[in-house]
Amino acid sequence: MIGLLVRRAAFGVVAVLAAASLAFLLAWHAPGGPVVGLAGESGAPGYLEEVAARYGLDRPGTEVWLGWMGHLLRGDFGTSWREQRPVVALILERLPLTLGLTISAAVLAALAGTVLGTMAAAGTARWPVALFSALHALPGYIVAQGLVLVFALWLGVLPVQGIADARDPAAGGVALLLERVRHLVLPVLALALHQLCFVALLVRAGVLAQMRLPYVTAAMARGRSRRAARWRHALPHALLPVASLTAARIGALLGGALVIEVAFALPGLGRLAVTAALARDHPVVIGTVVVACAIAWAANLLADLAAPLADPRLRRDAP
Amino acid sequence: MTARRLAVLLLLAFYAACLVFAPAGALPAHAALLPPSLAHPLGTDELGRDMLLALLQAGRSSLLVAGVTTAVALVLGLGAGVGAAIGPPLLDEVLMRLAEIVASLPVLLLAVLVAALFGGSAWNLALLLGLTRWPLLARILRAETQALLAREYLRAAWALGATPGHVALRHLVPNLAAPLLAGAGIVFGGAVLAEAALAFVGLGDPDAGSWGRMVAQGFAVMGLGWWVWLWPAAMLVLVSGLVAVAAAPPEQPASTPR
Repeated sequence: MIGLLVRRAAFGVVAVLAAASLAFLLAWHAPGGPVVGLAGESGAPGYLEEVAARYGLDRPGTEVWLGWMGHLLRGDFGTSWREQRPVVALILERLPLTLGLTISAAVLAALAGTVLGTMAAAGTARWPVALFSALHALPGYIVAQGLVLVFALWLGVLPVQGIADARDPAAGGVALLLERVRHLVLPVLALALHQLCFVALLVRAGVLAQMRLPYVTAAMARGRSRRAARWRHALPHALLPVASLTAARIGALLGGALVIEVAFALPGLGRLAVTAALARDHPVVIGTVVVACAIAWAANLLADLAAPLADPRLRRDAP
Repeated sequence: MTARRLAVLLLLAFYAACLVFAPAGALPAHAALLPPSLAHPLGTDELGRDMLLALLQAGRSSLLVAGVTTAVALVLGLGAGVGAAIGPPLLDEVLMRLAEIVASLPVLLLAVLVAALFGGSAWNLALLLGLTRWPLLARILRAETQALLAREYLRAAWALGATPGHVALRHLVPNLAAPLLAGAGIVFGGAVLAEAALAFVGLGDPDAGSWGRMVAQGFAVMGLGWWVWLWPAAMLVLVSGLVAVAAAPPEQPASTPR
């Protein structure tokens, strides 16, 4: 078990480095090259060479790449070219929001999807399946705009964008927390809806499959109601795929968060990546790619760890 | 099955209409923000372009991105999936590890990077999406191929001295059509949405129309004309819904014995 985890973690590091290398490759071969992207096309003779030497870009690409990857391995993300601040500081400023958004959406999708899916497994009606499938197909930004239209513009109950009220910023404590929550309700909903519907469909199918098995029949023969059999017996067996799906989709949710952050003007990691890429701030871009990739791998590793805890059949020493 | 065929046909008809009727080049300007009328069935946008023609043009570029993506991913996925299944164990291990790494790449982030650095041309985006979306197909096809390899007619083919190439092209690929099409549908739908998402963020191809960008810009002038936002939004919902129906796995009948 431990050996397996170490192997998975090592493989994750390789995968993250591969992503970082790909980002480096793209940055290095962008039209104009990194030096012109950094210094601009004009300048006194010798200026470009000076900038290249100062940022260590005067060496061959392979050498620069190896140097950057070595620093990454040691946890050194370098300094932002545009802001002249450590990349780690920039990312840490933005990370809590994105992580909060992603994790809230994942948890909301898992919980609400499970409940709705189990409820949908109760009857023989087909409309819940059609509804979930239809909502599942909606792109996140359309959902975001629809939510803004209804809740912010028509009903006026929730803020449209940002994470703070510019006219009346909350000082701190409970008021600040409430303000943050109020601003994040719509983004989390918009991000979660797709996955929520997927989980609901998955749970419904899983519960229905379990309900046909003899142990559920036996439970009902002993006097359990159909409803109790569904929630207490069938549902737990249908939960494991939900957990692994939730972990596996963290990476995709992070990608979706990028769009949602732009739609709601939230200062998160996605916006940082977009502005850094447009400004050709390569250390920051590679830093965000590494962090996003590492989070996805960490979530997968957690799922590998949690699966045997949740399902005794997956334990190595199980009979 | 019928809903599925209907969805495929609708999608085909729909994209065919975009290819045939979309005018080339810049659209002529009329009065801005005209509501739907006989002259402009879907109205005009904030720059006075006919919404119907703009929608068709955007559909054409959406088809280009999604089509190229799917083609690239299909070729790579088919090669990797079948190769992993019939090749030596080492090849299988290497290909599947590679697939795992590629599948874990933050694709949207890399797409943002490509669009920002190389310009958001449709070809760049399609290439990136195709090169990163094949693992899904490879995994499905590897599993299907392994199941097929255990069948008697294939063992008979091996026993009769068939070469791996002959087995792959004559026996495996024709029998992989169904999972291939389902996987291609998923990749296609994902590419449509990824292209629109990128354009929505403002990193799409500036020279090509995009439903994603139309949605973003239409939302800004929502108060002046609902139609500027509604039509592209409806297109995105419609296409992604149709693709979802077309690529959905067939539901097992309730009486399937386990």
